[in-house]
Amino acid sequence: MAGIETTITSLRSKRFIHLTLSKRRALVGLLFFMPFILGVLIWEVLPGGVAVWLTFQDWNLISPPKFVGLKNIINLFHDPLLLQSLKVTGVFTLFAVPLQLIISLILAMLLNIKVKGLSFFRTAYYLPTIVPAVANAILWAWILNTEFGLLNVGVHAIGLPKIAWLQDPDWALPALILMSLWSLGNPMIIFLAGLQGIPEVLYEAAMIDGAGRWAKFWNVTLPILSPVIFFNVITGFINTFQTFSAGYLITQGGPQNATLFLALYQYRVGFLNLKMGYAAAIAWVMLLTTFVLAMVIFFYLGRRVYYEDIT
Amino acid sequence: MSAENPIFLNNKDQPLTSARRWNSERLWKFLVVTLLCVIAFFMLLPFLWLISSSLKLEQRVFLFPPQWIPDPIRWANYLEALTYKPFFLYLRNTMIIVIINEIAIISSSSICGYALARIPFPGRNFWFGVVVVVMMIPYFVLMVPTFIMLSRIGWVNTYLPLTVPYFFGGGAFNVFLFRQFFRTIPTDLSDAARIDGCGEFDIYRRIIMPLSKPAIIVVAIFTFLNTWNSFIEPLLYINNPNMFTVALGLANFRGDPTAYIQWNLLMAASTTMTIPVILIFFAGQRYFIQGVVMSGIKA
Amino acid sequence: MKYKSLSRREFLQLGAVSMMGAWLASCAPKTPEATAVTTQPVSIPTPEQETTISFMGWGGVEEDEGVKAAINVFQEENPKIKVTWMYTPDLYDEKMNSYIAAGTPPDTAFISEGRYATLIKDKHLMDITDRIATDPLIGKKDYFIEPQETNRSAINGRWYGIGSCWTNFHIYYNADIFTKAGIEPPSNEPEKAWEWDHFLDVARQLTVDANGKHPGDSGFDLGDVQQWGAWWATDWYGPMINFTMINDGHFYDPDTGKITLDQPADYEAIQKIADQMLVQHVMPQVAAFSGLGMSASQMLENGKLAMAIDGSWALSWMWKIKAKLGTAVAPKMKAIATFARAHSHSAFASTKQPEASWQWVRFLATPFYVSQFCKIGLWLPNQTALMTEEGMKSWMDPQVHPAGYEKIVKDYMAYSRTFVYPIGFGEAYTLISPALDAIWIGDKTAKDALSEVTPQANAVIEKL
Repeated sequence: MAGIETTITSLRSKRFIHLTLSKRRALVGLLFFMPFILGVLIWEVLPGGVAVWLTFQDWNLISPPKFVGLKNIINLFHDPLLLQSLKVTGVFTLFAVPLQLIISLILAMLLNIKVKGLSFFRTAYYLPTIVPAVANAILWAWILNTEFGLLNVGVHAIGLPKIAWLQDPDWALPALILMSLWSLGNPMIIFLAGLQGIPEVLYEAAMIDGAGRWAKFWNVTLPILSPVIFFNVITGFINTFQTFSAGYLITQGGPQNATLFLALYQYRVGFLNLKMGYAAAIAWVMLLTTFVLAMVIFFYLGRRVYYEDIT
Repeated sequence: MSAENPIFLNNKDQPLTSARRWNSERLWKFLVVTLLCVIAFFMLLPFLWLISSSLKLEQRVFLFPPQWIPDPIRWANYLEALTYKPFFLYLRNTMIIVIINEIAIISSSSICGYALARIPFPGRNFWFGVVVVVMMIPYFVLMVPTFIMLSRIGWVNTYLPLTVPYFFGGGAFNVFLFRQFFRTIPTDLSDAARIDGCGEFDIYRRIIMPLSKPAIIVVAIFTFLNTWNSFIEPLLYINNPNMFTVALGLANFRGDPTAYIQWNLLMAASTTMTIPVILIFFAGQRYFIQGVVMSGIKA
Repeated sequence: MKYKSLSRREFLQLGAVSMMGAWLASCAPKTPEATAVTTQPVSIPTPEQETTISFMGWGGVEEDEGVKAAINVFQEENPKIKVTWMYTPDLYDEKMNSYIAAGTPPDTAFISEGRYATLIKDKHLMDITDRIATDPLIGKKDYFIEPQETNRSAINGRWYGIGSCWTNFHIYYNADIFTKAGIEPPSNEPEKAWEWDHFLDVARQLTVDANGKHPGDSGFDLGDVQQWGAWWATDWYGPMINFTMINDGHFYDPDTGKITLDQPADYEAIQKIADQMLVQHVMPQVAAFSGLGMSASQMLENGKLAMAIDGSWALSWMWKIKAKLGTAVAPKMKAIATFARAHSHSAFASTKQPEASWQWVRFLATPFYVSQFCKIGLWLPNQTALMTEEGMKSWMDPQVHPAGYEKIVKDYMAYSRTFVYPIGFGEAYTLISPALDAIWIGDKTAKDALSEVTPQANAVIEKL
């Protein structure tokens, strides 16, 4: 009919007509998918190749690169700042992600209750996520200011001594973790969507079986939500591990390198210290750590996810 | 989908009769609303300070204890802030990038996602694995090499690095989203169409996409938010101040420790820049959530 | 429900209308044209055919407009040369590096002091020694303040750039607070610089808590101080270098090519500054002002601060405070000194228009360009011509410059010290900075912290 003829004529190749239907479909599929394949080759593999080449060079951007063999990789093992940045990023991610997820789940559950003004509340809770990074930085640098900051107003009001949030190396990272809890709009919305996707029937069935509030949560909500939780855990870890702007805009990695995030350290090594080759080596460290982390989460958590049949 | 969060029976797990319902439910809702308000207050507090500072005289911004209601209220700050640097220009620049990216991403990722979801081709599962892996690659790993590549071919100081990559698959995350979503559409629909003689592209264009409004909206909103707030890429590639985006325009105060910053104007500019985003979210939130629901973010 | 959907529509309509308005507004001309400022520009010979050169630089609104005004005047004087202004207010060094990496460096540019040596080492800057020597105006022996200009512009006797101006560090004080307390304020005369103990004493008298008590009085409440005696900028390397110099230290010794923070002169200076916060309690904890916080001018104006020690460029906004402003030379620890610094202007060696580029760089070193910024309190001149009595009259503004400021401009500059930063200074400072963080909060003494990091810092620098 019209469809097949247009398909055939538009594709023109005689050889194509002689292929079986499924082979034809396969080619079309490949065609459709080609942009992504090209994309991976151009934007992932190619820069990846450059990154590999860079790792063996010493390059300060303004003069020609010099081949230095394995020097950059060896330096990775003798770099106390790299270790520090791994520690900082690790601790931050380990605390921030679970906290974010727990709180955003609670908020999502709250937002799932039919009360007046739901739209307002949802927007209000999502708002912090859309404040531009720079405005966010000024805001929080002021909130965390020791002498005049909003946070210390509260602390002082309770009668505790003021804390030097951004000056004290023990408090700087917790301060940034606190700041990260403010913009949980994205995981929250995804949880909310997940909650709304739980069929009512299941709760009713549970109720008939005599399940209490907590039992319902534990036996119905959590399992059905588990793929969503898993998704949020993975994306949360990956995104948090790459934290950059908080360190760059607010603390510049201080005090005493207490907030020297890996991404920030890599940026500094490449663009400030003008050691592009070493920066590439650090990038590989970041990639490796991310993958290992993702594998651990996949295997440890992935097996506990309960999948309901969809298609 | 669920009308009421059904966890909420009364405390004794007794079904709520109309009498009990009236009392404990009202009480419960009242408590919930109060809690929501308290949390909203904390969520909005920094924002309120932002707005309050934006209306203040320069010297009053950092008074301690903070002055919540500016005295005098200086509406002129907004006019000054938006003309002190050409913020409308930045807005226009950002919108240009946003529109190009929306077109690129929605068309590219949906077609790729469709192929992954509905057209068996050799290596399909392998490529799906690649999609998932690519989603996990940190941006910083490829940032420098990409910059080196693109600066060699003269793409620095153009919008090309910020838009062209999205024509190639539109981002692994979006491909993933569309693929998940398309899998929830019953195959009967496309089978029927195929019997009627539709080619794959027609099925994609006439049947699948119209059914995918929620997914499209989700991707559109995420794309908008990401482009709007994108700070590092424009920072790296755009040097000409007339080409700055909104995020860059706001970031301009950094760098020189000897420079003076007018905080109240900066706050006014920041507040203005969040307004379009708030509007979009407020208007689209229902579709947004629906879209996320139906995309079935289940791995 | 109906109400809700109406307001949603209204929102969208409002949004659409404002977007349209914004689009229209953005089509209006972009950056404002600068108005020409007049002083006596110098006329110079022009090259034969029309050439265009690029000039890259940073700065705020005033600097942007000042450069544009200078371009206008220069182009009038030199109709065959066109200058394109590449205004780069952010990430300057990174952007310049990327331009060089891409093979398209500008013809002329601001060169930040920390990068000067690095660019010279990789042979990117044009050697202008001979051109300066044979120039009838600039080549004169006492055209610039010496030996400072040579100290910062010449490496092994060769000049690769000319300093844009000078800035130094001095005291700004709230004169009303001094009058009220009946204390004699500090002086602009370098010979009358306060001894350190006297400075601390005055700062103590001017630090008051909510109950009117001073540090050292019983019952003094550090958590509730209403007025602080002193504040010193500490958030970048410029002020640090100044601290060491007023204690007769170096921070970096250009003769040996080493950072000297592990020497007593240097670390004692840092400790003295830290002690103002930790021991004498006359200075608010550094936290109060770190980078993104409140500015000193607001503190001075609100009466929360008596004395601020910051760069001379701060005058460009300090003069606007409502309280009466006074300036003075910094107190001396072991020496009357101040750290003089500024960026330089250079031409790139790779330029296709060396003659035109030189003419432009040269023009920037003539009084016209510099005096624009001296007028607004942003810069101090590096040309002696602008420091004579007549010269100062041509740019000083009684509204901006407090009485006696001439001494800061001329006399204090005679006590100023400067150097060419070593290659790798930026990286070295990222190693030193954490040590300073620990010192400011009393976690480590200056001696311990700095003795630890100085060898590491020295390992990454290189003298050219």
